[in-house]
Amino acid sequence: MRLRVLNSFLLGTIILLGILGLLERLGLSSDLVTRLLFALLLVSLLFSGVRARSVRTTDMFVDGYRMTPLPNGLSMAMIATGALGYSFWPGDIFANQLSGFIVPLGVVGGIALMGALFVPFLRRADVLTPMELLQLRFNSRLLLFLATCISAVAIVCVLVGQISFLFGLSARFTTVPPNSALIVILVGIALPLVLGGMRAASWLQMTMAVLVGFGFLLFLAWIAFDLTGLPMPHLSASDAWRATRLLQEDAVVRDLARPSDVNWLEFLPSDWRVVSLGMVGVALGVSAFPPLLARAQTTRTAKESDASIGWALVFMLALICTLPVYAIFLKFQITQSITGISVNALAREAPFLFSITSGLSLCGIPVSTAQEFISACGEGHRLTASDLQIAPMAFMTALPDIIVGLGRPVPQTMAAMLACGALAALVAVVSACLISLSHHIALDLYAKFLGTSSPMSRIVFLVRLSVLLVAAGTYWLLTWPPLIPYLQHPERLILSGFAFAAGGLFPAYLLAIWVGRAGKVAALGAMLVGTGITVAMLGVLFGLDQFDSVSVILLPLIGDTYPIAAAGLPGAIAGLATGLILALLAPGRAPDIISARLSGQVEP
Amino acid sequence: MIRSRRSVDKVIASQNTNAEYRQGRMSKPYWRSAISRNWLVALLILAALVGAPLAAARLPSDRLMGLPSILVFFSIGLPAIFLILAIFKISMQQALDRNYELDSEDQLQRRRVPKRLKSFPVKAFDVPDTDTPAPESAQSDSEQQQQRTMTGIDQTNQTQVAG
Repeated sequence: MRLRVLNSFLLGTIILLGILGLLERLGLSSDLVTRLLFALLLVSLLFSGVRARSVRTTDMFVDGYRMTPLPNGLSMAMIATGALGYSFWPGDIFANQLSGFIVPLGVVGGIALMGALFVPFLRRADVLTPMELLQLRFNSRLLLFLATCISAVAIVCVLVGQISFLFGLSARFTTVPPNSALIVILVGIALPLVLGGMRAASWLQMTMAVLVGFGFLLFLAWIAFDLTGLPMPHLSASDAWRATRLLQEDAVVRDLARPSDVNWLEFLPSDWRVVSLGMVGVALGVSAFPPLLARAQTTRTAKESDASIGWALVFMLALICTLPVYAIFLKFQITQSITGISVNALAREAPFLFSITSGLSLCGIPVSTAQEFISACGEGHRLTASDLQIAPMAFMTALPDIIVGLGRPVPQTMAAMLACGALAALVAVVSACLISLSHHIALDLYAKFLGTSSPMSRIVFLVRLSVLLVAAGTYWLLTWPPLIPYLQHPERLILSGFAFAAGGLFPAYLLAIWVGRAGKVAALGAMLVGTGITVAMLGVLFGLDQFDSVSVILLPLIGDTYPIAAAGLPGAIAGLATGLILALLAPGRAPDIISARLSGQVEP
Repeated sequence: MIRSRRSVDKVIASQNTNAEYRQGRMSKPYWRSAISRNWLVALLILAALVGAPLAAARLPSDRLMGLPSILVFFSIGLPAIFLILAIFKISMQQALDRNYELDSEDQLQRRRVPKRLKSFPVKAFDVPDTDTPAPESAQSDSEQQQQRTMTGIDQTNQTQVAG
């Protein structure tokens, strides 16, 4: 049923894109095309809300145990990717070369690790939220409270980081003030969740996945078609990379580039240990990230929740092999167009650069006006491709301007679809975070502490209400002045969220499922030690700019590319070690009902 | 109904397994096998995460499909390794469940959300509610489970599957 509706939505999107492309040829304004595509996104939100409305308790928490592996895996991949994956990862590879793979590969490894350690057992435990497993296994209110707080902090970090991509998108593609765009998106996401809970989140993530797929691939296919005559970007990437290399070799001969520029994307810029630590840190956090774990519970059976992991990895593989293609095409275009141009002639030779209002740096200095462009590298300086840097955060918004500015006839439908896909990726991950937080409030905190013996109907009502409260809280948080400087680097916030999950939740879930002797003392100790060390690590890493002496010691150990990626690793290791020691010193025993459920048996 | 020898063996094994489980003896060997298999896969995934950059740094600077081999390894090779490991784990898990006649698909009971939630102690979670139709007969769970295994009919799966 879901797949049939999904196919219909897919077909409808293709038809709409075709009609829009045709209307654009007939003279429809580009502004109207963008608005119509954004309207498509809002209609999908409404459709999900209406289609998923439900009064059933299990729909609010676990989507009525309905999801089949393919759509469930698709939803998992959407949550793991989010706006960060869509809008940031391609730019990260463009800017940081192979170090840009640290986070994507860590995320993929994390999903695989989650499948190996937690997924089928979490489904077998038959719980409504991931936190409930810890409560049932350790039978401790204090532990449930602590785990819920850590989870909430992790989710809020990811939520705020992901949604901050909206500001760049709304500024570039609409004339709506950023705060108004934020309200529209939050209300648009919250309404379906109020009506349908987790069921609506599933529908949102599936429909958004269709838009993300089109947005991510159409623009790229068009560039490939323009360059090679074949709309197969993955096949023509090698030609573009070779052409870029030849251009760089020529520039080196003409003394316009450094020899190292020739070897773009050929070597690891950082020490391999730094890359390893970062990937393992991200993987541990992703494997215990509650919105992803919640997807393990929405399937019909434990076997299908296992299969969902396989599908999620298939979609992630497709995404990751596309990321460098974006970077390669843009590098080729920039190398071809600006190598050897004098900065004084930029206004004449590359005027499109001046239309990019943020995220551009020239010779390492942020630039936006003509005078800044000239003064950044010094008057008369002849540019090389590596002189121009694009901040990963601004990559997707700058890309259409650069490609169109270079004279490539990209239809506005394609460019607008690129933005629409970014917005869809954002909606998917935000819906997962909002519903997880509302489950925490209604079930993990209210029902287990304040409203014990509450009627289930009241808890379900509270889930609906909590979605609105969390959405309002998110709006307040994103407009809170002290937080605004942190929104400039959303990847740091998101990685901090994963670090909290790695340090605080990963050891607890591992002990709950795999260590039979572990009791609540062991789990509490593991969580407290893991979270404490993670908080200390994050405090040090966020303050590195202020403490030079600390950075001199720490950065060589954990690397300067993504130090925060590895922030959860020490906490996870120390927490697990503490939990194992305490399990030996003060052993506990899992309740029979949980042992029975985890090993796939019904209660005897 | 005529049963093959193999299916009769399976039924007997299943009865033994259920009997063993009821006596509390079954879960230990199952968990030992599960730990060894799942932890093996988890360690392989961690080894891939740790070792991949080292392996990539030592890759020859050749071209694969016209692109640097290290780029191909990071963008296709490593995600494919994770996918293969995940598939390996899924097949091992299913084989383990089959060995213990623990077909999760047959025996997994969907959560019966109680009308009135009693959070602690954990036994409170087995109160039936209106979301899931109550069993018609007055048989105990273990008797129903044994009957399902004998007849091959899964009654629990007949509810709430349509989407």
